[in-house]
Amino acid sequence: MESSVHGKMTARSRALASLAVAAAAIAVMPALVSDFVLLQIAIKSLWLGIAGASLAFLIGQAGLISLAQTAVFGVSGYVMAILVLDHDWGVWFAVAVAAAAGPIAGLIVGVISRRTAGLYLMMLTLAIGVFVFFFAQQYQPITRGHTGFNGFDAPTLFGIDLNDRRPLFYVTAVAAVAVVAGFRYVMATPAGLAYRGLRDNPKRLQALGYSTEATTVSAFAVSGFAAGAGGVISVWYNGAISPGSIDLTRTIELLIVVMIGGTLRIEGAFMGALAVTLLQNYVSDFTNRTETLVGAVFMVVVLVSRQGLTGILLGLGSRAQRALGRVRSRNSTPDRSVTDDSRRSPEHASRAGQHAPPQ
Amino acid sequence: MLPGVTLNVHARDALQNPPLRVERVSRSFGGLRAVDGISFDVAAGEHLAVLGPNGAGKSTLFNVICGDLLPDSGRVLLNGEDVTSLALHHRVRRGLGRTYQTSSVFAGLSVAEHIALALRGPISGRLALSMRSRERREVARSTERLVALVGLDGRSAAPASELSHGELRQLEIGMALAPNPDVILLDEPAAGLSADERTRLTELLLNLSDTVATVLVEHDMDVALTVADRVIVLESGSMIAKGSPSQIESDPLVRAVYLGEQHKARSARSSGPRAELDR
Repeated sequence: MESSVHGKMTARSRALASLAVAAAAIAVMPALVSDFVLLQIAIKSLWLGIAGASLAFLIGQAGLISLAQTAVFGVSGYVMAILVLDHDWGVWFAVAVAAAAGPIAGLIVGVISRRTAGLYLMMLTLAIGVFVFFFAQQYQPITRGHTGFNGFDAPTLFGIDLNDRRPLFYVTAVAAVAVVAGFRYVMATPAGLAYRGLRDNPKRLQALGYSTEATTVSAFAVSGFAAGAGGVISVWYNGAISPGSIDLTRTIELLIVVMIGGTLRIEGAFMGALAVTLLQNYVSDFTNRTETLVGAVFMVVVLVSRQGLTGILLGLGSRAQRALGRVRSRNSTPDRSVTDDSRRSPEHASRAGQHAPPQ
Repeated sequence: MLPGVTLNVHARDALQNPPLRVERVSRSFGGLRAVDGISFDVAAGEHLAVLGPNGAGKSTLFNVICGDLLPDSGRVLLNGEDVTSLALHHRVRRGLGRTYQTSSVFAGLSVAEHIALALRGPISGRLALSMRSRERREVARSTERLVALVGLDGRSAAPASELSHGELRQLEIGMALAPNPDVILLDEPAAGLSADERTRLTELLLNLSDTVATVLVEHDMDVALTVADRVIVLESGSMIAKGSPSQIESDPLVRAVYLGEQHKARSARSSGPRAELDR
């Protein structure tokens, strides 16, 4: 019992330490990097990471490989843009509705695909994604067709204009921390345990009284919160949303973000988003075949580690920990040659004596 | 309503509605009649063993009771409720627990997480996104008790992927017992266990709560006949004998069809542990 209390405290203090590090990094970053890096790398990586986290959660926790997360992301972005630009809603009301649209869209995707898994789930969610894309492209009265919505101004928060880089960075960073904390919280709940059960052995989960369909729908709905948040912030960032924001290329890009980052940890999505954003911004200085290079990096990372960058880092971390443990035990253990025989079992001591060199 | 009257009604219901009733269940695959009009009841606290040679229809009957297979005719009743057309998870919520012939676990979950998952399965709020601290403490306490009950103390934090075959069988039984089921179906729980592990399993099954009705499909005759209060023997989908373990052991037809001389030899080999258990 004592050890579990100790374990809980360690986990809590580790979480608090992570939060403190994240808060410090967020606070100092704008002062350390150029405006270009802040806008083109940091903010984009964060909102792309938020959307990626929704997919990393689905794949890593529930074992559901969905190709419809870009559609969920797009639904929230479109809902906000439509309400503000076509119906003159107050922006924060529109944000609230758009945020709610994420889990609702996730729920609908979940309901449609609740009886599928593996390849069939991928095909069905791809079909949903393609449907939403064509709806956005062709249903002009609602979505404005090809052009979509342009000239969207990010809102003002407590008198601070989020069109400015720094406030937008802070808000996006806080949203990213909230998404990670939210997913971590969910993972510790009964639903979180059920999602992992669904991932590992759906049939066995059913034999414990769980409906795999309800568990699937619930996981999609939960993931929709993050996808929706990513969609809303992407519209603030780009000032626009169009069918191009949710087409097949974006779907694949999100999948690449998650696979490069790895699904062992939700935070992996942010590492993947940062890697992809860096490649997209800096590789173009050397070649105009950026996407080809992103594809090549994707292949290399997946070949080296099936769990992406997170897997590589965790592997390095555990190796370092083992090495440290070996060094510590070597330093703390007295020289074996002078170990007191009385500390050994009689059997051990007599066996040692047999091999002792003659006096 | 008077409390006494309520109690009498419940007592009458319990007598009329055993935890598990199988009524004239039949199931065919093409031209093969795998199970042919099987009927039996299992009372609370009773251990029923289902025996039979390979292809006798034991697994089909087991799967029909679990809901993995629909019968062509007949009914399965749990506590008097017809569950024949219900899916497995609905039956589990009505008091059915089961284990698998080949251990079926969650590779990424620890022993304690398996038990916690099983504890919440049949209750509402199984997909809750929050948990009160009192509830959390209760789950932790029950998990600890069950882990100890199935002999996995000290292995709570171990992932299932690191457990031995014997430990996986113990975990299977722990998961089946966790939600306190009325009926527990054990599909060859002794398969692949060492002699010591079989002895421990037998002790565990003998010490199960006297409110649980147990159906045991088992090839290991020593385990089955030691644990069972009553035995039914299947052959080509039909029930050819039923009775106490001693009646079954001495039934000439059963001996001819299934037990045969093989069992004599096995009994002789394992007379040590059995004698110990029979005490």
